[in-house]
Amino acid sequence: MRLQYSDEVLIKGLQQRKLHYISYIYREFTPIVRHLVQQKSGNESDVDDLVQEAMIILYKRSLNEPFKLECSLKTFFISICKNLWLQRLDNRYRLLYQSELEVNEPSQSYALNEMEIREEDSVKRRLFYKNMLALPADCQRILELYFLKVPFREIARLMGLRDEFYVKTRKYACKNLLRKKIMNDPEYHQYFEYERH
Amino acid sequence: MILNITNTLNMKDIEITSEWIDRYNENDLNEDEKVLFRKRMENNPLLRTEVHIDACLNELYQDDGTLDLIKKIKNINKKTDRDEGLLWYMLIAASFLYLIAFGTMMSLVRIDPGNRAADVNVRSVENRLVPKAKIFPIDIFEGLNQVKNITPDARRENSRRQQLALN
Repeated sequence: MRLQYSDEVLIKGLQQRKLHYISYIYREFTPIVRHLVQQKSGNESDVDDLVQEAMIILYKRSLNEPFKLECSLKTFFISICKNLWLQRLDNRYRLLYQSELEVNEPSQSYALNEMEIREEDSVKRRLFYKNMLALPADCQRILELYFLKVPFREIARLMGLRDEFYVKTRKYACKNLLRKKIMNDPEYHQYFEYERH
Repeated sequence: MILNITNTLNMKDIEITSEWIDRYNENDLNEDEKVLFRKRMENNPLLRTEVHIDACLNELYQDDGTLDLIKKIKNINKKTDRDEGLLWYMLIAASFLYLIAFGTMMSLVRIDPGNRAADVNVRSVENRLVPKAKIFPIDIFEGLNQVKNITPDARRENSRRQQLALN
């Protein structure tokens, strides 16, 4: 038998980033998002991106007090995905037919101001996180520990590295690698196309 | 004054490494280095972009909650893909097993001569007992077909016989 959770429980679980609740939300809402995306000839990676982005938006909102839903969590989640998806389609269309649209179409035709959801932010975030997670495991760990304000000496001890100077050099190298990865990512150029227009 | 010029000349020779980008965003450069770095940034759009990216990265890394959330979502995603893959493998394996089992059963039934004889017997008994079904119970074309199929010689012979019978 499948367990059912109330919206409050799910939001609380998401706030605390509990795997069980994240998994539940993912399992319950993804089929609807998939249906939505496939209607407009989107693919499975679009579905994953939208669900991930909607989850981040929901998580960030849930941390901001007071967070009150005026509809069901499912409706809210789907509406975030729908907005993101329409904006993404709009941007794709714009990039494909830039010259014709510049004259005729108003920009941001699908943006919902009251929800403050911007696909550009989503593209940027996806691009950065994707590359952050594509770094070698030791780089990821060093950077995470560094930003948690763990001292270099402690990082060296925790990771069994030579000394703090090695950690410091490695941190610079990792950060440099990450920057280069982002700049060489094809999506990066697309993102900066958005920014330019 | 001379010292200042020498310093400036020295600073101009300094090569800016990628390390400087980190240090600039972390406010770790001294005043002279900062001035030099800003000057280089003005003339170098690529360096500017790199500094911008680095600042964005710092901001994202500060938000460790979101990073943790993304990692968890990615894991769920991978697990779902794995489960779906496993399900497909199991379905394919089950289909193969079914086909093999069905094929084996069929070949056993066909090969066994006893079974074959019994099968033939049953069929022959059935043939004897059950007459062939007709589409129409009465064949209204039966007579016509006979007439149609009769040759002129046969017709003449028939009429001769009928005459003889009448006589």
